[in-house]
Amino acid sequence: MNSSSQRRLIRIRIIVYCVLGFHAIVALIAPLLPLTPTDEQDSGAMLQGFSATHWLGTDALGRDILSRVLHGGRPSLIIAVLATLLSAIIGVALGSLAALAGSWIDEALARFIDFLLAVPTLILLLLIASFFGHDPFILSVTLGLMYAAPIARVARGSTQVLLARDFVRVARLQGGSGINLVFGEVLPNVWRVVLTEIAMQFTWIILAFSSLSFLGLGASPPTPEWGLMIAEARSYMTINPLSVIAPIVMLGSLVLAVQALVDRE
Amino acid sequence: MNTILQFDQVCVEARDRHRDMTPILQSVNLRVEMGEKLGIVGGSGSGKSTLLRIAAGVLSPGLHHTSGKVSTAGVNMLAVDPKVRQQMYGSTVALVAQSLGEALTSHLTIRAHFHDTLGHDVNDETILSSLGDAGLDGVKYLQRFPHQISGGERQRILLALALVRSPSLLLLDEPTSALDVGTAADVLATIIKLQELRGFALICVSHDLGVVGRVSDQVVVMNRGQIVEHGLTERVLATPSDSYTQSLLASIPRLHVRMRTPQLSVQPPVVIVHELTVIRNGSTRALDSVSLKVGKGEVVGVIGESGSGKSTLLSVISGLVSSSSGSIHNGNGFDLSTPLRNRPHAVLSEIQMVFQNPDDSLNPVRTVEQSMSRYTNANRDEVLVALDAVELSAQFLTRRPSEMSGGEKQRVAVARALLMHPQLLLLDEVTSALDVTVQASVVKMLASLQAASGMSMVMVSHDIALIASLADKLIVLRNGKVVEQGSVDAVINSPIDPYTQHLVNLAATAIRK
Repeated sequence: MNSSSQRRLIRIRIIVYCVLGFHAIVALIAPLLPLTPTDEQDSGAMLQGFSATHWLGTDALGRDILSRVLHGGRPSLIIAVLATLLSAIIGVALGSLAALAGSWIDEALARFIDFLLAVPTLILLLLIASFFGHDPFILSVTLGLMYAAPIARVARGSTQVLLARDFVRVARLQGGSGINLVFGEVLPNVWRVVLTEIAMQFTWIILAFSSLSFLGLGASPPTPEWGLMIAEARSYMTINPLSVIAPIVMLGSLVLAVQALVDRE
Repeated sequence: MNTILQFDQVCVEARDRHRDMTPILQSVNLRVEMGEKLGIVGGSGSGKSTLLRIAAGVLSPGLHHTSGKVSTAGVNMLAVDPKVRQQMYGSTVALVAQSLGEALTSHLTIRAHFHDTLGHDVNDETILSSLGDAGLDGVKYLQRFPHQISGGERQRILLALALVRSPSLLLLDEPTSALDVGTAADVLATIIKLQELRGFALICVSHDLGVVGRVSDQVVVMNRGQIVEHGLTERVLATPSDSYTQSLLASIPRLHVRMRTPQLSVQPPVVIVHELTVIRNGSTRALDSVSLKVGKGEVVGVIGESGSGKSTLLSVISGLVSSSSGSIHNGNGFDLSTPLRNRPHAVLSEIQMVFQNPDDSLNPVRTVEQSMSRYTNANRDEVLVALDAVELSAQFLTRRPSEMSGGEKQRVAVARALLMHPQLLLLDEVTSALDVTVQASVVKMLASLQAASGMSMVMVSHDIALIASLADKLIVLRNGKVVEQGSVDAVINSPIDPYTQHLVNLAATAIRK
């Protein structure tokens, strides 16, 4: 690799860290910032552009877009973090168990993983959401289960490769048990790959939840949430484009930054 | 005479991420005339392959040609226009790369490979005559894919492809290192015959002095990027002047040179294998009714070509692979077909194994101390004692595999096995990935270890001279069957089986030309 492409990579890395830092800080301290309350309606200023009082303008109900957009990541992030944790645990456990057990157990678990991968996630989420409503806990569990499948597949594959290596055979000859092998020999060598997959799933979960909100089954009004904001504002986007652009930029920058972060190798 | 290849003070450096420079070639001077046969030997990292690749105009990523003049048939292949270089490939210079598995394109038939090289209008007769020269007869190869032919055949096809446009310089990188001893000898004979017939200049790189001795008139010995000796092959092999060449020659296992005196008295067995059969993929017999007894303190050598079942035998004895029929017991009558996880710790520790590939036998994320104590529960003092037994110092405790050489890693692997206090140590080609000088030191270490601990060993190797230098008893496997067994002296002095005779003959003439 030559030095100019190296410099370019470093520059990208700095941008990625800045974007992620911005999102993390904003998500944590948004309620503490001196912003207009997210649901305060300014009936005198609807669908306005930039102004000193409303930096990013207002939406159709006269609410401050800046305030809403800065608060808008919180619902998706909470659900995404919960669901990702769950999918990581399920995925890694399922994948390594399948690889370790081998024979018919592996075969059965692998087919179960295939089954999860084959189910159209968004349609299932729509079903769940229309049965159980907007319960964030149920949504997290469903998302966690559905997005565990790709993680399980990666964990299974890398565990299988590792288990055939000589140092794992030695561990078996020296009395290492299944758990020992997974936590002692396999995971320390595959966590990078698995973590990358987990981070990718994190971004898909954010997108899935925003899509759900956009379709009206995720966050419910008047919660500020990017997907919901886009849905609400799209009829007026010719009048105030900022009302759509702002949440799109926020959602897009977060997803791209996380993907760029794990895509560095 | 015409000079086909000339190196003048050539320096090549490797630059890593931190821009640290490591010299790969240091002021190398070399001159090869038309029709000359040159061998290049050296350990891994000596720069011999880099030299060869530069002659073909290839420089691996990360390497930089810093100074000196390279000329292949009057052209610097590194700097020349890619179009010219492409024209020169095959017609002026041809390189047969080391890795047999990767050198052919897996989705192309052999005929398609020739079409790629010669153009699509070439007729089959040309291809067949070229294959015939390389020792392959028949039309059957044309339609085959690379995975349908053996390693030796693959090497011959690469040779045919390289020579089909009659280059004046043929470069061979480790032409036999992936082949069985017998196959290697046949391929070398073909190479020599072709060279005599066509008179191209030949440069053959190998870590094996035996190979170089066979094919070359002149030999260059390289060490750490420098040419330490250059001369007539016979002269260098008979009276080496450089100390590195001397140690290289001294390290080669000789058929009748013993590292330990064979024990012939009958000892109580530590493992008894009876009529063992292993069936793979439904019908292939990886092992076929193999019976074997290993006595206490005995060293049993197992030889055979690849696919003969020798590694499978070790895997079954260790318990990593289960047998299809037959029995296997330890000295106390414990049934060793019991799965590893159901064995009592005492039985488990009796048999330990060291594997072939040093890069694979230690967990890359662990330090030596962690690797050694994790399952053995050994404390630091015990680890130090074991390290001392394999002649490694305490400073290795905190090293990770990436910070060690192949020989050091194998020593750690042996030391880790020792911590279980095994009665039987299984050694699967433990030195085959090592340089010959390192191999000699590891073999010496194993011999003294065996003498000190009195443990039994079963060692597998394709090198009969190496194994004869350590073993009491030899077993020759072929297609999963024992074709010959007996004391080392009996087997190497009067081999009965034709395959064994062949191996012994090859080993006896390996160095002498």
